[in-house]
Amino acid sequence: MLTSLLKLTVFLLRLALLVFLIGYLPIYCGYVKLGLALLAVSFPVWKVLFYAVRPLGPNWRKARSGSCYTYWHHEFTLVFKGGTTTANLEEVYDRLRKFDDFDGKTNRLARKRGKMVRNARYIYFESQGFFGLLSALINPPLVPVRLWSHRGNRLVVADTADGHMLKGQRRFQAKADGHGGIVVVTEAYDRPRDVFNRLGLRLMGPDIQSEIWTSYFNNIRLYYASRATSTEVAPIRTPRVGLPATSSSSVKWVPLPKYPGEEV
Amino acid sequence: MWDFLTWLLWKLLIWALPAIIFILIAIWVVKLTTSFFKWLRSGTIALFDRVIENSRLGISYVGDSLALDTLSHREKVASELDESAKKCEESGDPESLKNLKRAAQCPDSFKRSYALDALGRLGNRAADTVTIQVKGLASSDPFVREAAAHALYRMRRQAAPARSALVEVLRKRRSEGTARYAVLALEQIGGLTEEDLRVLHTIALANNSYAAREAAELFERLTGRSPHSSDPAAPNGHLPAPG
Repeated sequence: MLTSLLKLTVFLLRLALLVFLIGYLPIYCGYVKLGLALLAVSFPVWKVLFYAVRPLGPNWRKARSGSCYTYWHHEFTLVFKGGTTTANLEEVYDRLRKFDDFDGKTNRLARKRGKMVRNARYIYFESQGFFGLLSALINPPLVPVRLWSHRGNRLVVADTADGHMLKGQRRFQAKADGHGGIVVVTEAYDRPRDVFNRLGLRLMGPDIQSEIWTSYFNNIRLYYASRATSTEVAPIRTPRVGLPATSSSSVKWVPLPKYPGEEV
Repeated sequence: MWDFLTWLLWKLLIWALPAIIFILIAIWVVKLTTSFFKWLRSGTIALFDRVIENSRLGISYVGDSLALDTLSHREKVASELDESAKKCEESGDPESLKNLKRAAQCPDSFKRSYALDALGRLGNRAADTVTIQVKGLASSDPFVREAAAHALYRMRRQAAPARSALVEVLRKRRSEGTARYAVLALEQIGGLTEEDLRVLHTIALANNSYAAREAAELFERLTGRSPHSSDPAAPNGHLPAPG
């Protein structure tokens, strides 16, 4: 009940601001200041309210027919000086699983923080890092993803959760390349949550999104710089694709309806 | 002739005595004046430094409070702090370290957490910043808390003075990523008390705990048994001393 009330309050606040800004900005210049002042004043309130309204789970359930996704692929290879061992592979997987290298160093835009919500592991990213300050008009300041991992495949799965500006799944994996190296890869299929986010993504999203994941991987490369050589991070973006056919029955490209646990 | 010589001697003695006294007084006055000016100069310099430092703090505080958290602002902040961290790492530049310390206590959340993170990477050079990290642990901003805990984890045994603050974090914030870094930091600090082990035990068994796994592993390593063990003495009784 309280959660719904908070959600409704936030929704009404945003609606009022949007109407105010969109309706009055071009006509009365004096309202620009007032609108921006309102935005500035209410921003911390939204932050608190959205912090209170915790995500309840992934913000999508299954692939809708006809939906187009954007496919992202970033990868690099680590070659350990002392030779690649299973222990190295496990260590890289563990760092991926814990997101230890996300903050700081080459990542100058986004931050993350971990939080358990009803026994499910979430990582919250700041939306400023992804779409800029204006994103706060239509998205919460903190965007959550639900995390779980599969030790057998050394795979980490992140499902976008309630409040995220995207709907989709991102995966991180560490695997041996068969030539003495470890390939660290992140792949994602995602699409904007709504029309406003589609517009935002079109305007300024893709480059920043790609930059954030590139810098995350560069941070991992820096962490291993003294122990391993690594290749440059190669980002690939392919817009307008369908979700892939689910080849693996254990890890499908859709959120698992029931949280499988932090690690399976 | 003899009279003249006697007169001259007396005159000399009469004038020499006040002259010597005058010279001594003059030397004493010069010394006093010099030391007074020295004292004044050193005091002024110290005061000047303090005034400059406080002015800088005030200006950066106002600037940070007014700054919009935009992407370009973040990039600017990060590059400045990176520059300071680099100088600090290469030459131990005290001004750069001061700059990082200042940023690690500022009201701008991004700047603060980035600076805490950078200080955490400096190792020995930032050994005296544990108190700043402890302040970060007590922040109301979860990003700052997590950055401070992560930094303390990176500081290894140098973070020992933060032990009680880290245990307090575990008590209060078990569902946060902060708790995980707090457990990892405690593992490196060592010297945990029975009370600390009890907190670890609670975290290891708690629902909705971000640090459950790490806490369980550490508890098992220190006590030699699983926190899930049904040993009646385990949960509430007497815990063995850390190994």
